[in-house]
Amino acid sequence: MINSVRVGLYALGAVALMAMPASAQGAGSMPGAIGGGLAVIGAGIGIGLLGKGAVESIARQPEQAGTIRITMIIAAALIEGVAFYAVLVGSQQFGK
Amino acid sequence: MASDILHIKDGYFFEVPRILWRSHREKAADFPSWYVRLDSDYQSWEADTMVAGLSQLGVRSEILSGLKHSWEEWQHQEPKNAGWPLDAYLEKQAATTLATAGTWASENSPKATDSYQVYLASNPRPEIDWFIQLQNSPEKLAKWNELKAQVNSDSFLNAYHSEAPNRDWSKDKITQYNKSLDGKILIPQPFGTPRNAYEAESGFCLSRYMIIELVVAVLALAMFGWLAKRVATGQSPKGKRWNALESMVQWVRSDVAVPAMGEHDADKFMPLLWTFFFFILGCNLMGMLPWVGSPTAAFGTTLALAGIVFVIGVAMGIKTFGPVGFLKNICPELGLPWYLAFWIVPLMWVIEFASLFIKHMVLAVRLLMNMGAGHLVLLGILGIGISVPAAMMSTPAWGAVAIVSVLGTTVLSLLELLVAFLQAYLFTFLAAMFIGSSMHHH
Repeated sequence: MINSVRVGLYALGAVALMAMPASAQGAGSMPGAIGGGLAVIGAGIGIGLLGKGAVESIARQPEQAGTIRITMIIAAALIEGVAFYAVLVGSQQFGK
Repeated sequence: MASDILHIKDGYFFEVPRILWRSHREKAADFPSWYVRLDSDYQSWEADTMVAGLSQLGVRSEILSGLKHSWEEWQHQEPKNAGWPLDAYLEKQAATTLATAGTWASENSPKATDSYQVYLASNPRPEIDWFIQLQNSPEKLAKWNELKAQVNSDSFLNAYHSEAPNRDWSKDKITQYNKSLDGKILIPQPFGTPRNAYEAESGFCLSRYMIIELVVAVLALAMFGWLAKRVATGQSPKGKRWNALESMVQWVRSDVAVPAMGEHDADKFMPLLWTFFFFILGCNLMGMLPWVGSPTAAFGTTLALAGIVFVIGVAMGIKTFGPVGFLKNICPELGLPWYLAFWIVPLMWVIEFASLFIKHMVLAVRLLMNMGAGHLVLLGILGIGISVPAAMMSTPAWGAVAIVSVLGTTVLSLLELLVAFLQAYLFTFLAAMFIGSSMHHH
């Protein structure tokens, strides 16, 4: 487990190094982009769990499929709104 | 800066393929006035006039002789300096110098009353000091503002076209300008002046998204005015168009408004919710048409829509409960015993009060980013097919990548269609929920 964590960190560092020439153009900042990406990880996991719960409940009660589908879409859009907010704020950061 | 964010994808022209709208301008006077003002020949003549005006104001000639050259150097220093005329250069330099003087003085001699003089004592700045002194004396400042107004007026531009020595632009320059204006349908601006194709200088400039919103509004008025006349006759719907419109209108009421607000209040707010739904849907779908664009991809539009929801929610809440009652109502009643309530309820109230503003902001940002980001992703995928392989791969390989990228763009466009409907539905649903919850006891 420790070994895979170490490999993961090296990979992250390598990606960051490779992205440095691109970020030298200065139209956005690296920390901003990383922040946006972190927020989207949370949203992705959250919406995935939401989908899991929705599919399981439809399997248990197929006649409620309509209600469950609408509820799932509303909740997914709310979570996505938060993720988009973080991406917007991250992309508006200036400077390296 | 604020208006850069509000008009993130907006512009003062429509962009179509070059073949359809060629620019055939032949001389300098054919180009729009803001375009001429950005030209280097024009700005050089403008700068000569301003230098002559400044020498009449009593500025010493050894300063004026080097002024034009240092202005041109400043223009080439950074991309964001390009295109600013001499008066803007002087004022920007003065502003940055005063700002540096302020920070320097606050660090090195915080007790000084005049930070600029203290700064000047150890860092002399003769190249801009004369201008700051000019700005400090009221009668010279008035004459400077007169000079600026004269230079920025329309009659000055007309004088350029009739009198200036470099008013005949070379053929090369006109061909190059025509090439850059090919395909751009410039929107006429009767109420204001744009600085360039993307930024406004003064007044109220009509932008592309404003025109598209007007078109959506007129279409919606036409369609639903027609429907209203039919509904007023009291008959049941006949025919495809009537059935389609009435079923959509009925669906918004029964599946969006009533679940969110309750049957009792839904009828009062139906016109508002119908307007939101069909306006946002129309604007989103305009983004599916080629070369048109969706107005909801601009922060200004979505912020205005969310602002309307906020104002109506607060107004309805105050009307139902009174101002203090409305503020007490946003916090749900929990029935806590006194030893928990006295510290939990204030904390909860602060959170709920902040969330009142945050909820509506996120409403705006959600719609904005869904529309804007969808088009950005499409741009990215199509861009892969166009740019990357051409430089690096052989033609058959590039052909394969291009085909895959075009297919991917098509499928994503279908997803964009779904997102357009979904976001309109969601905005209306959440607007109904927010307005409803501000009128009911928690």
